[in-house]
Amino acid sequence: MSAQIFERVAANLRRPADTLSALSGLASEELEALDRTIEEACKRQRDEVTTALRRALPQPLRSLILGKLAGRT
Amino acid sequence: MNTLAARAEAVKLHQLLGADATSLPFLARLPETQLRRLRDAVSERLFAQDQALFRRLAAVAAQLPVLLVIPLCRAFGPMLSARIVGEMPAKRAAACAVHLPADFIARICVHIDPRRARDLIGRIPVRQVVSIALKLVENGDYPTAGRFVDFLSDEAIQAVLDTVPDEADLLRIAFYVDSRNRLDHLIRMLPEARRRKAVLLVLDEQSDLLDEILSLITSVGYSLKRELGDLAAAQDVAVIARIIHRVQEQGLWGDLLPVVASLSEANLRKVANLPILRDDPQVLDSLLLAADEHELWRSILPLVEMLDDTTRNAFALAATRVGPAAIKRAAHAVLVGELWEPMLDLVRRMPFDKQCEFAGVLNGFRGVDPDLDRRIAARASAHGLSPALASVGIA
Repeated sequence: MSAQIFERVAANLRRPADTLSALSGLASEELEALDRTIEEACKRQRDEVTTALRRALPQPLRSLILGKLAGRT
Repeated sequence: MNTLAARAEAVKLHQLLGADATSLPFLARLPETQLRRLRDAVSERLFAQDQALFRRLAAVAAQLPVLLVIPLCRAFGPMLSARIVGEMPAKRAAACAVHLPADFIARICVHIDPRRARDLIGRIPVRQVVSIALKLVENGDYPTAGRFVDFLSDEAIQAVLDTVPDEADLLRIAFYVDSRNRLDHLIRMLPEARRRKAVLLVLDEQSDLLDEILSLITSVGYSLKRELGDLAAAQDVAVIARIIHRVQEQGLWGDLLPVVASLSEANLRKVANLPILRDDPQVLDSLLLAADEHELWRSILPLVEMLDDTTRNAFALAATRVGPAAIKRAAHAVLVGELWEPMLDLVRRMPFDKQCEFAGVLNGFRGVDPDLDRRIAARASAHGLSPALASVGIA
């Protein structure tokens, strides 16, 4: 189980698993917590970008860029 | 593994993740190099996210007059500005940066990976670097300041050192410097009086800079280790005992033993014979365990000759509690370092069964060199260990 989560963390970080080998010694729940925190950091950054663009850009430009952002993966 | 460097690395990783400093406590178990690799991976993941958009915004910003980019940056806020600036040509980004106030850039720095902004950092005028550093110190953002140190010129670092008046702040920044091997050079840029002042902050219990001081002393090269270590060791016994308590509490013996081994003879004698080492079996057990785990037997065994008789007995008693594999490794260090005298003196203080166990290890060395066999037998006999040697067939 923890091997699968470890593979998932490495995949989420776009790194070969062997470059993060020390993480493989972590327990499943620790790897889950790490993975969750990384995902939250990514989401937080995405939300901050959206908020900053919404606040800073005039309406037509904002719609164009936020539309592009909405289509991002 | 440098435990304190790993702890600093964990703080930087938590900061990058925007997580509470204690939310991922298991990270503290990982070695510094692995934590650094993880931080780099997370940083690259965050920078890769929406990078195409940031590149387009940077391309637009690069076409606008600088004076228009400034209010745009302020409107975007520090995080988005950091991402856009990171995608702009360094020359252009630097031209914008000089018009931004230091407190805003200090907040941008939190979101910048200095490895990706090396050219930009090199183009920021020294006086502005100083203003930003002062702002980071004022904000208490030492991890961010530490992350940038590797990428600053000596001229910029010297200017920051000259301007930050409090050695406590410098220690806190040094704790987070990425390249521990550069610390030696940085510390030598400080006048000797300020180096002394920094280490003597060990006396200030309220500011609690023990970790920062220990991290510094354990990271620098031999001659600075000795200089700074001697300064700390020359303090009152109560101060040294406080250091030892911290080292014990946080499992830092592996980091500290090389410092102890580098002390001048007078300080070495003073530290090695402290009552806390003699009277607390757990401290000695941890010390010996660290010596074994970090392959420091050759640093530790010469200390035995500095110990008074009572402490030697305590040391020998603690050595009986380490496992046979550790004794074998210690004996090998003795063989390589010709440390027979301190080792045999310890063994003669052990119970007979432990003496025999050690004699069994020595038996494995027989036949390597007849001269060596004769010398060991003679020295062991002088220490009254002949019966133990005889028990394994060594005449």
